[in-house]
Amino acid sequence: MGTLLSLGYYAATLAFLGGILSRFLILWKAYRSMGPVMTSRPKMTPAAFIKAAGDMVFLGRLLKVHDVLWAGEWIFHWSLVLVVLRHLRYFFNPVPGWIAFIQPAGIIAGCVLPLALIYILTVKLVIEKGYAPSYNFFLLALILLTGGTGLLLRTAFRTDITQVKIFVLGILSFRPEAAPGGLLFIVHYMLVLLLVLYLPSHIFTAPFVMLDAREREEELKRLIHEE
Amino acid sequence: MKNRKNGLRPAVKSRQSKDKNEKSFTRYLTPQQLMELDACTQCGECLKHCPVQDVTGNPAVSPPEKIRLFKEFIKATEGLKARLLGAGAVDRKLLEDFTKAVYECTTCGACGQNCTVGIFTQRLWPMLRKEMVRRGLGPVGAQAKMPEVVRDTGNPYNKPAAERYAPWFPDIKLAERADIAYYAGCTGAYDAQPMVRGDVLVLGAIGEPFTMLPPGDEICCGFPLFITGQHDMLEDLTRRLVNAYKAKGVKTLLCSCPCCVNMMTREWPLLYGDRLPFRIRHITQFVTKAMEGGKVRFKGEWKERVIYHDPCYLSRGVGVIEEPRVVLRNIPGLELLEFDRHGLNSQCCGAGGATRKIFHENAVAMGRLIIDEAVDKKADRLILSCPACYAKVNEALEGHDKKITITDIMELLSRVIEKERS
Repeated sequence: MGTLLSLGYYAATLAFLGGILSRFLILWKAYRSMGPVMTSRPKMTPAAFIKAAGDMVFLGRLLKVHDVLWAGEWIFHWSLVLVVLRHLRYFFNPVPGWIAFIQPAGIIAGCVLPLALIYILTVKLVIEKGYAPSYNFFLLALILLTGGTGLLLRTAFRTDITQVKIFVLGILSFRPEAAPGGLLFIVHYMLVLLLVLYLPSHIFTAPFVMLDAREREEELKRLIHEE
Repeated sequence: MKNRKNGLRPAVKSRQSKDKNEKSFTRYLTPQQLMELDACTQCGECLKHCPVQDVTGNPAVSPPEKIRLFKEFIKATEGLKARLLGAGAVDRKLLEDFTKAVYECTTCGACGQNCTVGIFTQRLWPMLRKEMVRRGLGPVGAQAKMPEVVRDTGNPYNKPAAERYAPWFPDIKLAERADIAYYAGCTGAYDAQPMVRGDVLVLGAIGEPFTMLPPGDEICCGFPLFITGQHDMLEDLTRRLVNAYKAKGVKTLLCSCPCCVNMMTREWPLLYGDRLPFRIRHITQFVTKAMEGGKVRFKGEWKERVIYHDPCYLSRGVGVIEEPRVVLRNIPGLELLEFDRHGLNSQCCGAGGATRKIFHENAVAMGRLIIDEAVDKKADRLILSCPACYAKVNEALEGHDKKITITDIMELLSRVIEKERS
């Protein structure tokens, strides 16, 4: 089973990296085929950078358009970051100090994450009943299941984390080890692999788009409003 | 080869038809735009602000659906699987549905304004339309004749240049050369004359010398071609206009059409390949300065409750929001009302995106939403500052059960200011 699950990790990672490479090639082709004028970007100003940083850290654009949803989304995004960072302890031996430091916060985030997702789904499905893109809901449901099974593994059906670490380090060193026992772990692990396959591309590109939007605003001021 | 009538190069079907068989969907997209496609979170917040959604209720023409479909096209032709196993064919029906959706959009930019990541949709949609033109699927309806019409007449209305300023042009003396030039624009000149007449009267009253190009030289700014994805003539149009104003020693080019102002501000520098030798200003910006300098004198009061509608390409397009309000608030006796959605969140009147004649019913329905709110707020007059809005909202008023007087902002101002300077 350990070997099979390890192969699943390699396949998911290859698909993920292949997707990234494919996207990079498309971007590179666009960069090469456009003239320097078309690909020129507005000059970055400190004001644009600070505003864009605010958009990224506080999801400022969402706050402007939907404050009720924003509360859930902000908590969800940062909980997810903390949960992912907390899991890095399985990938390092010895565990770096900063990863050890964030463990308590990661545990709290692990509890908050499913609640934030339930809140978001409630706002979207029950309160608003608006446009419901299936991909968006699939992703939210996938993360909810992943977070939920993770929480169960930490609370109700505790798994042997030493065995988890041996298993993960085995994958990283290409020497597959036995997987920790229990069906719930396998389900959680498979959900994580699925998440890697369906990882939304906006987590990589949205920061650039947010920065570009702020630079555009600043450039427009210079173009048409300044004397 | 140049066209004998006005010197414009023919609207050749060069690149667009030559590359019709190229599979890639990313040919005209910049890296930023490709990242924008990837950055769409499919959250659906933009839908609440989409005017086409307001009147059709059809999510198939919604911004996230258009982005999702276009990403599918890219994935099918240039995705990882396509690279490893060869590009698959994209379903023709899906392409046709996408084309209709992308052309039904009014390009008002409300989706981009309310986008949670800040996608620049006012530029993205025209570029997706351009790709559909290359594939022979766009533009739709009469839009397809536009390049030829612009080539032959210099304007998209198929009207002779001789009628551009006649017979409505006021008795104002124009300078041969001046620091300031005024560009009337095709829609204003042929479809919303009271607006351009008001502009010229106000400029005359302010008294600063200004120049205009002769009717045969004041050709299309390129916006209708740009917005419909037909970009072959754009560089030529831009260079001709920029060089003509440059030759007149112009330092500030004024225009009242928000679409033209947008084209000149955002696209002309890219098409010209350099910074423009003059600055672009909307007429309300110039008039606001003139008011601050005491150059505008009112001859009396105008006791009315008026409501001002922000044109999409003026507010979201170039951020000119406060100046029209300053102009109106300066008119003695006038009370200014606001729409619920105003400024950057202004609601499209249906005239944008060169769709007003193609998807006429949508546009009329959107125009009537504006009229209804203005009437409900008990405004005496609806003030507009865009020739396309002016033409379409007037059209929407015909046969509608609610009535209101529609006036352009400069048309109104020209009625209340002293004109002795002219």
